[in-house]
Amino acid sequence: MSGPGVRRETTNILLVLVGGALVKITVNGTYLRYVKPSVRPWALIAGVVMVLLGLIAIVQDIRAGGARSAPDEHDHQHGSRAVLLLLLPILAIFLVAPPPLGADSVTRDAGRTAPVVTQQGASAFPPLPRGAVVPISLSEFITRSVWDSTNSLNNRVVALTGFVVHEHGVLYLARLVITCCAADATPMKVALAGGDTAGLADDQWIQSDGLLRPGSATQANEYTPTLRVSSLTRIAEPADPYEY
Amino acid sequence: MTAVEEQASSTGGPRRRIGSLQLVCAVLVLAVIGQSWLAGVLDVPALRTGATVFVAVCVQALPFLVLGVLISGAIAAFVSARILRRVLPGNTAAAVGVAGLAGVALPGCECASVPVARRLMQQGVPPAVAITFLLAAPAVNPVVLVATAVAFPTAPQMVLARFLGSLLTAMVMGWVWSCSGRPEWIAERALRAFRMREGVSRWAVFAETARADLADAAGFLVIGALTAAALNVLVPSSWYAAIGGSGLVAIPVLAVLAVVLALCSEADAFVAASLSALPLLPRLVFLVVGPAVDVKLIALHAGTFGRAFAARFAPATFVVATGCAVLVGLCVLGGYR
Repeated sequence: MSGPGVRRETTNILLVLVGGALVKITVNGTYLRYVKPSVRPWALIAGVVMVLLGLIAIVQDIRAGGARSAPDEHDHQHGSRAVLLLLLPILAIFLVAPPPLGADSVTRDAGRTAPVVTQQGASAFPPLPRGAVVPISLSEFITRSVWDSTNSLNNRVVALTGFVVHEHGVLYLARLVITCCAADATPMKVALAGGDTAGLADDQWIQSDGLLRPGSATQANEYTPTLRVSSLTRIAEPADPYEY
Repeated sequence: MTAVEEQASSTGGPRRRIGSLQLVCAVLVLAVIGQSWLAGVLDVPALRTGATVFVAVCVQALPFLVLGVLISGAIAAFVSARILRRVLPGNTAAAVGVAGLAGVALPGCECASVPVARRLMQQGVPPAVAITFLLAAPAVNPVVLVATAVAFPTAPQMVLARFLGSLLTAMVMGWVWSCSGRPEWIAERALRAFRMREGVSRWAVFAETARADLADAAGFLVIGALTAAALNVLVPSSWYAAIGGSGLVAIPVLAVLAVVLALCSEADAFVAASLSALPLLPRLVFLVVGPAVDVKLIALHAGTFGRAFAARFAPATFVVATGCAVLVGLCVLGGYR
């Protein structure tokens, strides 16, 4: 990355474009594919600041009559060529907009599936809300199936939302948990038994109602509970694809 | 892209200077024209996962980098070298201790502390002191410690162990540098004193410094994000299986894992917690090494302080951080468990 540097104007344009990319994904909501919701204000501010820093320099250069008489020292004129790599996130965000992590991450991370709460021993959980069908997050379903001493899931119909993963001939409903960003995603999955699961492709989002098969989450299967499916609906990918 | 650049640079003179701008425009136009082809090429599961992780690391890290360059710009514009000299103890060894504890006050992750540390050096702070701040800030601040406490609800001693391990790493590296570090290892441009020009307002200095720092560091952040994304896709599955039943081997394996995964210091505690099959000590090593040295930081350090610095600093920090984590772990966690 040594050698001749990058023109000051080029750097400014790249900063404006990267900042614009950050602003775009925080405004249109696709940032949820990459980071947790609370990052939104920071990413938005960072994007605006990057656009402003680029624009201020561009305006100053124009008013000063070209880059040569910019307020900077002459030997600062040419920055590192590495700045050209900013083209990659710019192109990735504006043109490709990578999808949220899905089935590929779940099968890739085999061996890192862990219950979200790794507490020692069972304890009593608060009762589930009333209603014929209880919508519940995948992480809570798995945690209760493993640790709840009151067995609150038994004989309760729950509604789980996630995407389809096929692994070793078993059909799973899966979801990824992220802490900060997609780089730290940890997979969670529930095996599906019964129901009309024919023709479901990997990464198809579904909502599945059903009952926990008691005792199905064991240490041997890495605490993967089984859901006896009573009904299954294909749904569109939610705007917020991860659990937190 | 490289071929075009080389061709452009070999022509020399004014044509070379037009090159980078034309290159950027050409790449943008080509990409817009070939958008559907590009999307098709990326429609391979592994590449899709990698692209998502790449964008995620960029989106996650850029706000912290922006925070860092704004602080750096503010120091350049509003805090003179004389004020810094008055605040810090004259004795370097004592100043290293102050810098380590000062890290508590910068609630960001590792990307924010790099431009700030460089600005401190430029304002005349001894490199040993700036290095201590560089290592301490991302690891001992309250946000990271609270995240660690939340991730380890049944092992609160991990918070103390992480704090002490990271602080010790930062101070040992500061003292090591003040004994055996050489100024010529740091790139000349990183140490060049900032000259405030006559007739330029402080706000103009602030904006220009922040812009220049951002332009210097952002490209290297992209290199780091690319590396992290590639390793995220290529490494984990086999490694997690390999460390399952191992004993002491888990310590070096998790130290290397911290380097290649390049997680944000606010998130790594949760990943460490999810490796619940392992004892606490190797997971502490993971938490102490990660914020001090990882692939993303090595790229940032090489870009900011020069390759000669990064080539020495990264291995030294890796060894010191692993050693400090094991030492603190044995004392605070009560042995290998």
